[in-house]
Amino acid sequence: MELSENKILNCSGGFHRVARIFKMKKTTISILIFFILFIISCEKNDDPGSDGSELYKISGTVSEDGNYAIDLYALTDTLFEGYNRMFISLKNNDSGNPVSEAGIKLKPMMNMVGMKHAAPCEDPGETADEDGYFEGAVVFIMPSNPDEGWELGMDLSISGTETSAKIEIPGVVQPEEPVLVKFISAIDQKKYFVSCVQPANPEVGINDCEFTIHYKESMMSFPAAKDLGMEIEPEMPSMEHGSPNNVNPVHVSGGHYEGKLNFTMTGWWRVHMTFKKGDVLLSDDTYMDITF
Amino acid sequence: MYCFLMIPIWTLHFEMIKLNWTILLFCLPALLAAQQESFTIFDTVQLEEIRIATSVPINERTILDFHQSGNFSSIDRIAERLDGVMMIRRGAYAMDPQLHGFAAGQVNVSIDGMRMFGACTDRMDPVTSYLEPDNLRSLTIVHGTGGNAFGNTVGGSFNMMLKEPVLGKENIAFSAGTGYESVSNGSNSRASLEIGNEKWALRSSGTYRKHNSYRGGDGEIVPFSQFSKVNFHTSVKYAADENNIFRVDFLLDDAYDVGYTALPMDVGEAKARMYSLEYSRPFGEKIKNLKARVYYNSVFHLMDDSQRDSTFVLDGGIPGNTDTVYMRMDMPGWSNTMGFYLNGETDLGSRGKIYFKVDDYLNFSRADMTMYMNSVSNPGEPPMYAETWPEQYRNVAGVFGRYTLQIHKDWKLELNARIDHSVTRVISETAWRQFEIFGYDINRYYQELPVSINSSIKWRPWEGIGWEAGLGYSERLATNSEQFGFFLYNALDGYDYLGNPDIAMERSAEIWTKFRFSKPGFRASIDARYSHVKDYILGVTDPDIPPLNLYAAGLKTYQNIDYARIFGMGLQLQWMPVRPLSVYSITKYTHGRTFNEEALPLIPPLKNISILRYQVKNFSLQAEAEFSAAQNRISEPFGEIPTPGFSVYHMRASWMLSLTALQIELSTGIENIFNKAYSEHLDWGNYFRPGRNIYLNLNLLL
Repeated sequence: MELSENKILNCSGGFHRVARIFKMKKTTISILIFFILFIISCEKNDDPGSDGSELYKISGTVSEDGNYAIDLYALTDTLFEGYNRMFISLKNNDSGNPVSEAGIKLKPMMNMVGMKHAAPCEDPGETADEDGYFEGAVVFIMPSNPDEGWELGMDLSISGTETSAKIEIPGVVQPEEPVLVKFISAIDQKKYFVSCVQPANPEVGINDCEFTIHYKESMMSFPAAKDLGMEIEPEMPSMEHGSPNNVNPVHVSGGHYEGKLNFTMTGWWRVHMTFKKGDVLLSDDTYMDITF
Repeated sequence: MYCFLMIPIWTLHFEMIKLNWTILLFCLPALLAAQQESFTIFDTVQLEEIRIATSVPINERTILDFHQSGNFSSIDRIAERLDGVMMIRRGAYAMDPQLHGFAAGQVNVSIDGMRMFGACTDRMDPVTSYLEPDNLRSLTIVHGTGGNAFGNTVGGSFNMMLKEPVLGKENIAFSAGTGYESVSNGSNSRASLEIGNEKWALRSSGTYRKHNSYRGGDGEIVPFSQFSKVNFHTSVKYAADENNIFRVDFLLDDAYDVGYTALPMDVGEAKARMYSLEYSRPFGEKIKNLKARVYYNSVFHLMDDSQRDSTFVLDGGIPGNTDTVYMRMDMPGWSNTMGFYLNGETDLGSRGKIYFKVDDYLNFSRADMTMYMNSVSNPGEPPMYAETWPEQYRNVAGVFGRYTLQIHKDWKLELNARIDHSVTRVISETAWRQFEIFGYDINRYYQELPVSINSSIKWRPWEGIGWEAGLGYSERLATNSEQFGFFLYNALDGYDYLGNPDIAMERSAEIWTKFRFSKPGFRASIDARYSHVKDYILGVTDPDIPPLNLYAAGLKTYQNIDYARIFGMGLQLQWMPVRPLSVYSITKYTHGRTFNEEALPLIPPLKNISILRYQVKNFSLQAEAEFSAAQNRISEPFGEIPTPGFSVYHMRASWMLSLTALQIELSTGIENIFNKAYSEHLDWGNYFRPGRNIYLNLNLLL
């Protein structure tokens, strides 16, 4: 009951708002104004990254030849199992100038107790963006633990010289709600990795959705799967209903599939996924949960 | 944050109002021209004012006595006995009035001409539920398109006139009463106070009702049929001089712990507040009966399912499966309305008269739903939230004019027209996104220009014989549920309903006639009307959209079907065979079908109420019988099942004892004497109506 009372105060309509404002004492109003200004000023202080998002520094190192300082940034303060956008900045140690042209080949590696394996990744373009970052991506296919950790190797090619670097990844966590699912193809027993890129901030209404699909060719090779058919079907498991007018993701480029995902209300949604190669079913028992 | 939200909202109001009036002024000449052209084609409906009062003087022998079963009849129970009125019932409280098959948004419900809207998405609080007979002076019902004096309507109007204090010689009056009803072990209490002199007058009244769940005719308790309410009304009148009168009204109505047998949820609280200021000028050289009023009312409605068992076994759940979902819902709703009206009369020629009215109201409504899950297999699930009535504003500005002309001593012509301009704007971003999913961009202004024109003719060829006939046309706005409702669960057919932002207005063309006959000791009237409703708004199943509520069977969207046809008939008889005996009988019949000959849902069968009354001096005895035919013309898509016919009988008696300074009014009666287990066709869920009820009321007048 108390909860509802609060709601009444907070959500009542325009008339109430006006009435309430007039009823408020001057001090209350000044506190309110101060609070509003505070919120506005906070919003303005946000430091925008390459696309307006804030970047967090993950780790840094120096290239093998000692000429370059390499820093790794991401959109979250901790990397997670799934598709992680990687922002790399390169700086010339002698001149102190940032490098804006470079060939970077990413080589993520998991050092397990008994073996090693790589992970799907996307190499950055040769030119840094206007903030000086080379943007690539890595799909971490398992979380790290105290005994088994990820490192990000890089082959660098800067103004004609070749060098390499290795960045220790401090930790890769398992998100509370997985954004990576794996399935074994029913036809050739290949292992596929499906990561959710979008929606990163799901909301009620139409959400652009983007998934990446990679498969395991060998322990060291995880190419993008570019010819799959993908179907999505959101459902609210506890309500036993779905949502209408979703658009199945289709391949755009480099293993990225884009579509539309509709949520009619907030809460726990489960997106059921079906994968096909041509008309042949690869898997239809995979799902990803999205709760907001 | 409040300030920032507020500014655009208020700018929006002014913009809307400005827009309204610009358009109306522009249209006015066209309207007047249209009125002249249609002079010979259209016709009007005559207002039938049926007076109700809580303390009808015992020796007044009018039809009115029959409408009231005791001092504590609710508005619902009084209205149920009026011509062409039936009540849609979802529980023991807050019945939804229906006029010859027209209900909800098709009917205009107003309080003294003021608009007010319930705040429940599922119509658990029709406006009539926020008033008590003690608040009212009269109840005016106009069937059909002619009910347009208070707003455009296809079904008619239901206007409740508030009781007002009386100016005059110094007086003070107090009355109080209490009553008991056995069927629900419930009590009703009331009190009123009137103080007045030539300048000032005040009237205050209060009502309190508390009823437990009642027993049906089968002796079983009908679950969730309890209710409690408090009502308070104060009206103050001040006469600056005899031609400048001011009046202030305040009304409070709080219902709480209201059960709804036929619905999956009850109501925790339903609160209404109403404020109004009126200025009236009865006399004037040119304009008479000038009245101006400003008002504001707010309704808050909170549904509650804490008493309900909401344990549902999931799909594939075999008996014994413990993976059940336990859900609680929080469903509040708000509806605030502010507005004004101005009306007056003027003579036009020696035999003509014009009544005009200008009005405007701005309604804000909003409702949402938060579901809290407690699933065994998924503990800690976050709540689910959706806006069921997107936060929205609707401003409606209108002008109404009625012209009456005594053509000849036997012939009278009446003509009226109304035009409104409405702007509806959804301001909630969440709602914009909710509707995006269905391909609608509702982030815009929705405008409509509903018009209505009526004409009628009255003929009184001989003393005691009267004939009237009329033609009318009217359009009505879609309600917020019909336009923007988001997955509103309807317990009648078990479907979720989705609003249709592009829904068109309903348009009704109507023809009616009425014949009256009277001679000393006998009165009879018969009336019939036929409405052809183009673009009738009805829920149509959409198999492509999954429902949202856990218990919903499917989803329906509101659509304009091609047309529907509704026919209604009424017969009233009053006969005084010998001096202390009088007989009153009312019969009502409605028939409705869609364009493809399917039955419309919620159409009542033939019903008759007959009353025999014996009255000597201060004692009266009344025997009543209610007959209803079976309804087998049902709408299966709306989950209806045939309702068998029934007959129930009641007995009532009342005494009035006059002492020098005190009057004592005692009334008692037995309702449903034979404890018949029955339900009417408009009762959702076919739960039994109350079984045998013995009541005893005592009222003191000082």
